[in-house]
Amino acid sequence: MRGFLERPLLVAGIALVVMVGIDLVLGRPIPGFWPAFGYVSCVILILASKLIGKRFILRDPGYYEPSTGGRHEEGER
Amino acid sequence: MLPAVPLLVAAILATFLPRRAGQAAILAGPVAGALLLASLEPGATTTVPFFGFEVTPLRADGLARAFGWVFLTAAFLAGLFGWSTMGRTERVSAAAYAGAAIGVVFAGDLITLFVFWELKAISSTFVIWARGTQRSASAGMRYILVHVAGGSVLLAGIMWHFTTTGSLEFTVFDMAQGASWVILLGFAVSAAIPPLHAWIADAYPESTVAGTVFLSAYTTKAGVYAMARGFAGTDLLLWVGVAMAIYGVIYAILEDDIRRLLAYHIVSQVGFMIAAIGVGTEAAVNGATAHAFAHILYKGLLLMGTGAVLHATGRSRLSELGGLARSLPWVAALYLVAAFSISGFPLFSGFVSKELAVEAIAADGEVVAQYLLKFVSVGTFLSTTLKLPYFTWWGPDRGMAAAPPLIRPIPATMYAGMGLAAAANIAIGLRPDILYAQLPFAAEYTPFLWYKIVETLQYLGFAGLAFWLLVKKLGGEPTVTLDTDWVYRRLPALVATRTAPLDLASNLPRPAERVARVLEGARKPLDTFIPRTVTGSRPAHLPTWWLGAVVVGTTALLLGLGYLL
Repeated sequence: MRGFLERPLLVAGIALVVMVGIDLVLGRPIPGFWPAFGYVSCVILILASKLIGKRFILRDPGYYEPSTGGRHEEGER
Repeated sequence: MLPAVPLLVAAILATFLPRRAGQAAILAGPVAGALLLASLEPGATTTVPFFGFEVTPLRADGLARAFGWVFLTAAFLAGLFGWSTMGRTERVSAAAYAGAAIGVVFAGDLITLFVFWELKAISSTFVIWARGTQRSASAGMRYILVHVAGGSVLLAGIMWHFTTTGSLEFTVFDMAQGASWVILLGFAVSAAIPPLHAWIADAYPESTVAGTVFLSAYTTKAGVYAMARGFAGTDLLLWVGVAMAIYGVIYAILEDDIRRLLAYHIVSQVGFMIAAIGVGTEAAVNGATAHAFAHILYKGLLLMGTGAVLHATGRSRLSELGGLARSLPWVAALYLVAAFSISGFPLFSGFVSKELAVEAIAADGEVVAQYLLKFVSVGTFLSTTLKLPYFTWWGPDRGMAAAPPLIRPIPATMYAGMGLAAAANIAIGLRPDILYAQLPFAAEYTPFLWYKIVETLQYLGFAGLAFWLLVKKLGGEPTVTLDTDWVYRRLPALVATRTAPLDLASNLPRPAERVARVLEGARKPLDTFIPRTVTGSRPAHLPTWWLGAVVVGTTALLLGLGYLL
């Protein structure tokens, strides 16, 4: 079971087949549209944001001021 | 009586009362405000003379009542959450801030609106400063300067509007008038519409754990309220809202700081509201109002959860957290209620509000906008329900779980605030009629249709699978994100560095040289005074005076323009 769960592509494929089956039973206009929409949207968002981030947006934590690493600063009340 | 009054009285009392009594006053304020609101007849108004004008400090119509109820609820929940941690400055400023925001939503004229608008800006700045760190002092300075600029634009628009129409009533604006666009710009600053939004991710995460919960409820939602009141049906806002929703969610995916990540989700979720306001039908305004209502409740809970993590660990970066599920299991569970709500999972509050807004947009024929907003919903689920909880509670342990002494206990009142907020989100998710009964127009909408539930579970479920596949690409790296605040945080320093060797002042013509020296002379005491009052120490680098000079100049220009027109 654990080996199966460590193979996300296989799990995704099986889940997609099940979802298409459900859509066919329910008579949805395009079976499997919403699962594919969710999957593709998520992949696009992750890859596009990483690309944009690396090129234009992400900088070293101390870019504006010395970083405290998100920790409480000294003197905080 | 105006429901804002008990909160403003609570703020005054909290100035003098000892800690526990002051905190009790902060909780009693919203309760008294709710009793007042419940006693008001629907549509009740109060008009009083004011320096030759007729002003309407109270107009309790459907839209005002809906925002009034949720503002009062948020004040109580945030006050309860912060019972053990809030200091005097924070108590006073938070109560004044909540009171001012409630004053905004019940204002029936533009004078009252402006007065409460400015009180809101000033009091919220003190909520940011209350953390007492150098970073919060600097962020608060930038925040107040941006909001003073926004307020100045709003005032100029109001003056122009009055000289053109002779009316100060706060109602739907005529977009054929130039003044209406100026007023819209003033509201856009408060609603955090890009590129005027960067203050939100800059300042909110620098406040205290309870302060950020207060901040998340009022400033942007007052902007949303003002737009719903004055600009419903302005076509441009539909696409501004959609762009906002996409912009916010991309930044949220990139963020390493958990509270900054959620601040970007405020931008994104407000985008849904602005888009619905742009459509402007009764159903769409209902959708915007419902989503603002639910958003205040689930965003408050999200920030309570991340605030509890910060309180317990002293850390807020995903790149430094992880493995906290055993140390903070209840915080994780309560956070997830809010995460499922913001993601629009069936049976949680966001599902019944977001669907109402998106369906109203689709019903107006805006199918592309509908699909783009569903796309954003996937991103929301990805960053708030998958990425943030995984890397905080279940992801690789970066030393937090192995060092139990570093985990400070969470006060019971924090859990109480989170528990009540979670209960509210679940109650609205299970019984949407509770929410729909508060909306400005009669709502005939059934969210629990099988096809909506199935499609939502399908696209969110498969987004989860994609996250599983690509989780390594989302691993927290210590970074900051550049945004439009770069213009006033970094650019002046870059310009100053490059021009310094030229000795600019000596090369200026004489009158300009005198102005430069006067400005330099005026800056030094301000630099010294303002941060010291807050932190007790002066920041080494405070470039915000550049922005201050711009704001003062803009204010003078706009006031002069308003007077002339």
